[in-house]
Amino acid sequence: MAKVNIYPTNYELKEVLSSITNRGFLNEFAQQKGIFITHVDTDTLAQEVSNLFLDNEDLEAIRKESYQSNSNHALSGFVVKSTDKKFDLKTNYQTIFDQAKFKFHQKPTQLVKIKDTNIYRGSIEYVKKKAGRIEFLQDEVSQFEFYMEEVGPGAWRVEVDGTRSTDSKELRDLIDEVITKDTEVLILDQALLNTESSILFFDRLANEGMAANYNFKTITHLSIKRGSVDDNEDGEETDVVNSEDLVGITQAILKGENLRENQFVKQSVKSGYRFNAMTYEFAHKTEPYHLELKAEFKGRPKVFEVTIANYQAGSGVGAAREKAVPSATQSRKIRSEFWNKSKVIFDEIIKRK
Amino acid sequence: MAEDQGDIWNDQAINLLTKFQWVTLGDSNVDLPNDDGSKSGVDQLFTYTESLRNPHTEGVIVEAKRYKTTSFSPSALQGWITTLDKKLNNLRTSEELQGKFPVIADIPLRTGVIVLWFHDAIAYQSYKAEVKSFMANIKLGRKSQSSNKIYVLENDAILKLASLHLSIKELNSQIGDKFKFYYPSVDLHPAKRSTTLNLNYMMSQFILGDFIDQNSVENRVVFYFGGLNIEDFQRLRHALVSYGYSDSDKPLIIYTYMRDDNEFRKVKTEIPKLFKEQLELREMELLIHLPTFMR
Repeated sequence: MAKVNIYPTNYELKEVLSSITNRGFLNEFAQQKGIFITHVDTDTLAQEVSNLFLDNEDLEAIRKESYQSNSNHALSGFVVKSTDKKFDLKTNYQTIFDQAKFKFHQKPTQLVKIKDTNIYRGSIEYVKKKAGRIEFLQDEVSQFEFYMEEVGPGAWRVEVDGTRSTDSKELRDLIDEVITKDTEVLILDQALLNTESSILFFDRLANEGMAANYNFKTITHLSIKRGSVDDNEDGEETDVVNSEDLVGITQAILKGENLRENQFVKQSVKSGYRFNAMTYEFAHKTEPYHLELKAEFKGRPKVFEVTIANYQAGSGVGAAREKAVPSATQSRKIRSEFWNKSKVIFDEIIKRK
Repeated sequence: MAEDQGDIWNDQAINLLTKFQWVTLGDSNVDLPNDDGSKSGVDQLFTYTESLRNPHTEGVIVEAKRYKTTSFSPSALQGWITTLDKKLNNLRTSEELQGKFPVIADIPLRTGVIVLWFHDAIAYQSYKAEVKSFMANIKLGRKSQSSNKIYVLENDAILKLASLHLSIKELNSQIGDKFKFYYPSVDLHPAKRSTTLNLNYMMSQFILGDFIDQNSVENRVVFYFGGLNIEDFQRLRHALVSYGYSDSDKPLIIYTYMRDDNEFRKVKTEIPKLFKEQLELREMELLIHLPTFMR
């Protein structure tokens, strides 16, 4: 796989190091080398570290951390459905892997059956050029995991746990190489929802999207877009809804009112806006956890994905909440559950079986 | 006996740093006056000339520690770093110290070096991952006060420096003591040459240098402590290009430090193809014990 071993300039290295949000990484990186700078802010520490003359191993560690630190895991997915009841996606993927039917820039792994389940996990690494970025980060190697499970005769659900909206498409393109005409790939594509049904979809997610042990609290963010769903991002006009209007929307949801009757929503629809992304805050019913989930249509085509935007834990009743990091398994479980419930709602709205 | 060994190690550590043109200030193992009239015990005060970016002289407090791996604890390291941080804060504004060493009034005193030698050097080889983990977990003060830079040189770093000295000594014997470290241009500061090794280079994975040979040709030298596969050398080559240190008219000598005989043998013939200049690969001595010049 193509990989360029760029040596960053001092400026680039400093910029990359100071943009890494995980200060712990920067401290650890310096301290493992025997460098301890006391009473210092992140920028100054980044400047000190960027003065070092580093080797490939150091630079790869920085690059990897930079990618992870600047990306949030999003879960999306699709269903591969065939009229042939014996259709087996796992075998098809095996063919791709064994016969190297993947593209030059892709590097898939062998599937692994997850113990005590019928789920198969795999991952794909691929090179993606990022124009206009700092050269050191330009030739980015992206990696994502996917999980496939047979959900009915000839039907396989695939969940993609990645960091980029292009991840899901990489896998769909790969699967397209081997599936036959009697098989289709069903995605949660925003183009299948009209303006009104997109409002209904996001409305229903508040109360029906999350696992039963969480309560919906509020809407913390809503972005609406004007323009055709088929437009690229540049052709669209995006608005972030202000907090006053969010309060009104939250109230309508909590009271079980039809969101389309809300004054702000009515006005937005009239002006040609559709709902594009909504962030919901949920509180665990019995444990001191609060989390914000972002549900969004993203990429080309605009495919539905779920991200944990914020996760907080309190140490007791009335205690201040602090930012926490869910384990990778916990994070995936939360997003997977939300995505699967969203899929049911989406299919009901568009009357897809 | 333990104290004697400690004093000997103090002398050995001082000896190593002076090989890189660091200059001692006053006696070793002394009590220096703090700004509040109390005293701080210091193994050795040094000055050295910093040549990266803006050339200037820096004051450095060096503490030499000699331990057995089984007696070492992370709390000891945490304590040394916290204490050294305080010493730097208390000493730099001491009128008495500035009176004793007037140069201190004119230069920054914000740097400390702990030279930590595990004398059971074989056992250290399997212990060093633990030492790195201790270092990674040290908690540093974040008060709004002057920042200090504290560097810990443990066995690996000490032996790298010792090996570097041996290689330069041998090279200098062939070229008539003409070798100098090269400090490349950074942030519009011009490049500099110096016989003094700065702390930044001591903590780095490669060090640049050069000399003029008997035919008046500039030879470029890289002391390289990184990995030995082809990607490592591609990255090194790109680094040299990036620092304007690659020149097809100037011979290049790369000294490697790591050993990976099997892997390196496979790629060794490919390495000269990466570099446009005439390339010579040499090996530095890989040490486990202190070399004789330090003992």
